[in-house]
Amino acid sequence: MQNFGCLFFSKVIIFVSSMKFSHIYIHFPFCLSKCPYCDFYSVSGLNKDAFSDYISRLISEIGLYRGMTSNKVKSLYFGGGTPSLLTSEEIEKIMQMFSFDEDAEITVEVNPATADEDKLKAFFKTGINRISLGVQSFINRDLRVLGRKHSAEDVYRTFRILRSAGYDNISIDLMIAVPGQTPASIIYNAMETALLDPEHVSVYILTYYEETLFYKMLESGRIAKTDDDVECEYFDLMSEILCRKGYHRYEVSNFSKSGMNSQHNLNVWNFGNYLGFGPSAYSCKSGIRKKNPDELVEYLRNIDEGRIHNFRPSGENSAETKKDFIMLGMRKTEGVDVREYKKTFGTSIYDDYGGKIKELILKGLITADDRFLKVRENRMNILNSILCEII
Amino acid sequence: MKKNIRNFCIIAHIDHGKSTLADRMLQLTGTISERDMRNQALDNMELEQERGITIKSHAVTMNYTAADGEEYILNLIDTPGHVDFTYEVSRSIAACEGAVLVVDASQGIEAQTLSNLYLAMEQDLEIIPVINKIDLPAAQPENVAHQVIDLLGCDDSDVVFTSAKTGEGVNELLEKIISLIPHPKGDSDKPLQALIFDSMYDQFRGVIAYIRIVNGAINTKDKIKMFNQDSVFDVEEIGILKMERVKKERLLTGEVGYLITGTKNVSDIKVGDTVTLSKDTAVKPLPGYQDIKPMVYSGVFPVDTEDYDSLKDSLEKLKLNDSSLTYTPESSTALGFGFRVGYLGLLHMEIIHERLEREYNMSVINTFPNVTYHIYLSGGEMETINNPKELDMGRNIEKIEEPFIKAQIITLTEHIGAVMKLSLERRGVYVSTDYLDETRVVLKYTFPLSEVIFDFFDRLKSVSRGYASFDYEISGYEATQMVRLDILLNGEKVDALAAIIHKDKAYHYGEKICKKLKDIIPRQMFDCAIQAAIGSRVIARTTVKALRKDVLAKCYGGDISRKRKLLEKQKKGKKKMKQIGSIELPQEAFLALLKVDE
Ligand SMILES: Nc1nc2c(ncn2[C@@H]2O[C@H](COP(=O)(O)OP(=O)(O)O)[C@@H](O)[C@H]2O)c(=O)[nH]1
Ligand code: SF4
Repeated sequence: MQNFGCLFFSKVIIFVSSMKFSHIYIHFPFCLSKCPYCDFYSVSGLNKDAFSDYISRLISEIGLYRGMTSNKVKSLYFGGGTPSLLTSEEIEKIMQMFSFDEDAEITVEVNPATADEDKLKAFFKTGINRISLGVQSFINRDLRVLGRKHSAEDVYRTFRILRSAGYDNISIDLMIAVPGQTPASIIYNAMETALLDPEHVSVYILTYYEETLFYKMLESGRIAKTDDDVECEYFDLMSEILCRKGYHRYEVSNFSKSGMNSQHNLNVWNFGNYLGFGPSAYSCKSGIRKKNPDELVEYLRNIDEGRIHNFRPSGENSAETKKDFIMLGMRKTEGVDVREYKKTFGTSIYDDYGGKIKELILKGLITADDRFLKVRENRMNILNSILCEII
Repeated sequence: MKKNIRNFCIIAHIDHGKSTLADRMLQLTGTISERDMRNQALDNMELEQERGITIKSHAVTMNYTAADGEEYILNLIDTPGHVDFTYEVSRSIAACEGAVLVVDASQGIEAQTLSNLYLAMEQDLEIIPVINKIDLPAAQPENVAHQVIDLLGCDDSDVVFTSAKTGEGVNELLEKIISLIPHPKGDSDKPLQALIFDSMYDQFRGVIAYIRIVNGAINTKDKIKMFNQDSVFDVEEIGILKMERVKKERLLTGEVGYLITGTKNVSDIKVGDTVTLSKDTAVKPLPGYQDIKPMVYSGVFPVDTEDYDSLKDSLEKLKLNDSSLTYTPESSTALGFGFRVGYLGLLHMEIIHERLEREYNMSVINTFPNVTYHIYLSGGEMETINNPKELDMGRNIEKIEEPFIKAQIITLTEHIGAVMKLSLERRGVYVSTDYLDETRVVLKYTFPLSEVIFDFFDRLKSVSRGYASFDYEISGYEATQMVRLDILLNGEKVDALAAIIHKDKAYHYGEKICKKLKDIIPRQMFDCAIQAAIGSRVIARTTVKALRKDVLAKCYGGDISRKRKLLEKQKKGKKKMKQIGSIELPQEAFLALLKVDE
């Protein structure tokens, strides 16, 4: 730590004294190959050496913030990219940088194409206790369309391994409205999911992000996007089956068995603080965000130079912070926590946005009481339009 | 002196070569040097050049030494080439003794040419027929010359053949102008009578009037008055028009020039008015003055309601150099505060809107244009309305009259059927057919003006493969079965979408407009019912289904600021729309009515 300027150091001290982070995100920007619909920052085709190089920098980055992390970390999330490309030793090394609360939720995203039994078992031994499995579909045709490097069989096998390794908190990612899907595909995927009986399910409607290959193909007419209305029907169909099978929709795209919400993500939607490591990772403190460089090279250089990005008030004012609070809170089916809002900003949400809120209640779009302000369940699909009215 | 003056104009259909021919004359007479030669020197407004239409007329004085060795003054008075400006054309023509009729040797006579020719003939102008573009391979000079000879009843030898491009025949034309066009008459001893045949606004000098001295003379420092105006003006400057203004101490009988009084108010100086001296006043004005009345009206509203004041300023400024523009404040429940603007015609309307946007940076919403209707109530009184929402169908209306036009359409014989079909759709009443030659006919029709002001010309072009041409003059008011058609969104009338339309067309129109709006109105949080109604009777309906999907699938610790910005962008987009009750209506909706036929 000696190589930092004093100026920086003094800031850290003020910072440290104010609060410590107990939610941590770690980004692993490598994938086997780039999926054509994915807009995450990730690099494909790199070798093991690059990984370990990366890990060592990541560890120094974590070291830079050592004083800022709580000694009772509540959640740690390995996202990507494809963090399941890491070895258990590497995972362990990273985890050793933190000390955890006894109930800590420690998640790794696992791509079924990278899952070998020994590794997953070893992960478990390091303390990983939650898996987010990138299933997308149980239909091989869908998986091929999505350019995934795994098959439906890989999914079943991986899931079996995970259970036998001892994981009792598994989440499955599903993609709907994949070109070529029919209502039958949706029902099949919902039923297969329910049969595996994971604790948590994330359902995403395929989005054509700019700068992805799918987007270009869409533009040039080489693939056809599912009609918006049909996408909604598919989502509702999926949602209905999952709910009948005992899942509860607690966020726009997330379903869980009772008590099995993602602690890590809930913290984000609850406007909590978190610290992110790795390229393109975000951190957030009292509504102020900072972001690491997107590019791996730049990120690595920054670390080598011992430069860290501080939480500078970025010109965002409290009105904007309030908007973020509402935008995130409304994503939850329980809604915005009205008391938390007051605690955070010192003003009541009804004083700040009363007129708009009243209008939306009268229109039957939201409900409100002294505890929560929330979107009506059947209106969650037009959340953006509703948010536009409020903020 | 005046015996060596020739005042003339050029009558031509667009693109037949009027500007090019004028350029050649300017060159041959040394009025403009080769080097200064800019193509189409007479058109100097940006908009005009793009449209190829001379919107505002100008005049130019040329000195020419003829074959007889004498020096002549040739005043070329330019005429606007569009039907919206018929009155202005008639005033320009009134300032001349002769007209050069230019016809493209590869195209033949067009409707536009005919109507301006009729105007010139009414004023007893000497007509010199010119067959232009004889250099073109496709030219049929003999053929076209015959059409012209038939039409004018003139002699073979009267026709001049030119190529404005190469300059061939242009000298001959100049000689013909001198030998055939009579010199100005007029009496230099009489009190001053000068015809204002055009005017323009100069931001430094104020209003500049273009005048033709009919009788008497005008001197700098004279005190003058306009016949249709009470106030007295000082002559600040007079002069003649070369490529620039050339100051003179006096203008004499028969001469053409400009007059500056220093007034900044265009309505002080009206085209068609007569200038006389304030002391030695002429007994009566020159004939033919008319207050120009707008023929077409539309609502113009600022997109952003905050811009009302700047819209007002912009219109005021526009009015400074366009006295034919009229406007009165209007308020709409849907669009807020704006103006009811009157135009000479649809082209004039487009020009005004373009100038508002280009020169004044305004973004405006335009409502469906309409003509002026005469409403006769059973009590006998008559009301004039130029806004559909003023038509209250609930009152005891005896009859509604709308303006009619006499139109001539020139088309190839093979397209007669298609043109007649279109005319029928537009409530046209057939009058006569005259053959120009074996392949081309003049069809005469009467139409309700409202049927032709919108897209008639475009439709005519398309049914005739681009060959037909069209021109008209207003013939008067006639009673027809008009109704007011309202558009309702979720049961709420949108005043700015109302239209006055013929009863027999209302159903069809109602259906189309509902469908069109359905395509334009974005899906919203609730179903939106679109209805077309006459009074309380709904005649057409559709529904824009509620929006089903508008949500970001993923929002994790990642880019939350970016997500919020996305939302803010979406919100901004919504802001651009007009909120009508619970519905957000995009601006295009108001133009959709113009395009129901597409
Ligand atoms: N070949 C040829 N082209 C001509 C002649 N006169 C005009 N043009 C062209 O015809 C087009 C229309 O001419 P213009 O003078 O602008 O027509 P205006 O609309 O009547 O003023 C232009 O492209 C001219 O260059 C001519 O005598 N011969
Ligand atoms: S594996 Fe995941 S992160 Fe990597 S490219 Fe595919 S979808 Fe994106």
